[in-house]
Amino acid sequence: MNPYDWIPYSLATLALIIRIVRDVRRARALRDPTRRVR
Amino acid sequence: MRYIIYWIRWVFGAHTLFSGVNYFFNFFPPPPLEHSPAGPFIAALASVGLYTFIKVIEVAVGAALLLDVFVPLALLMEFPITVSIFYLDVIVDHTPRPTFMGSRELAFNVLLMAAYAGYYWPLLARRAPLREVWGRTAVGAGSVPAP
Repeated sequence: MNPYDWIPYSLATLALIIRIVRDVRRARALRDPTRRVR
Repeated sequence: MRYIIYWIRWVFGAHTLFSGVNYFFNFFPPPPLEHSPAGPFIAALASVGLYTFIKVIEVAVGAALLLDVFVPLALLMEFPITVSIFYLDVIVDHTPRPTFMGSRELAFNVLLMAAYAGYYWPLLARRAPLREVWGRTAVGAGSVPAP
C-alpha cells in the first residue's frame, strides 16, 4: 500500500483517538469534583 | 462534526507535510509520473525551481495544520496548489487513482476552509477602503474606519 495513503490516515486516526480519550477524561473529571484534573 | 474536522485537518496536514518532507529527504519513492500526461508539466516546474518552492509551502502548510497555528492562512496558501493538483489529476490525467486523489485533495481543502469560514468573511468586502500596513488602522483595528 502506498505510504502516501496509510501514513496520513494512520497518524490522523491515532491523533483523533488521543483527542477523544482526553476530552472524555476531562469531561468526567469536570462532572466529578473529587477527581483530580490533569 | 468537530472531531471529523479535526481528523480531516490532521489527514490533510500529515499528507501535505509528508509530501513536502519526502521531496527533500526521499524516505519513500514518490508516485511515478513518467506515464502521466501531467509529467512534462511537473518536470518543467522542477526545471525552473518552482516545484521546490511548492514543496517548501507544503511543508509550512502541513506543519501549521498539524500544530493548529495559522490554520486559515495555511488553508488559503495551500488552495492554489490544491486546485492545480485537482486539475492535473482529474482533468489532465483522468485515471482512477489520480482522479480519487485530486478530488480528495480539493474536497478536504474546501471542507476545511468552510469549517474556518468565519475568518474569510472579511475578505468578501465589496468596497474596501485602504488599510495600509503602515497605517494606524491596519493591524488590530476591529472595524473599517469611517471615510
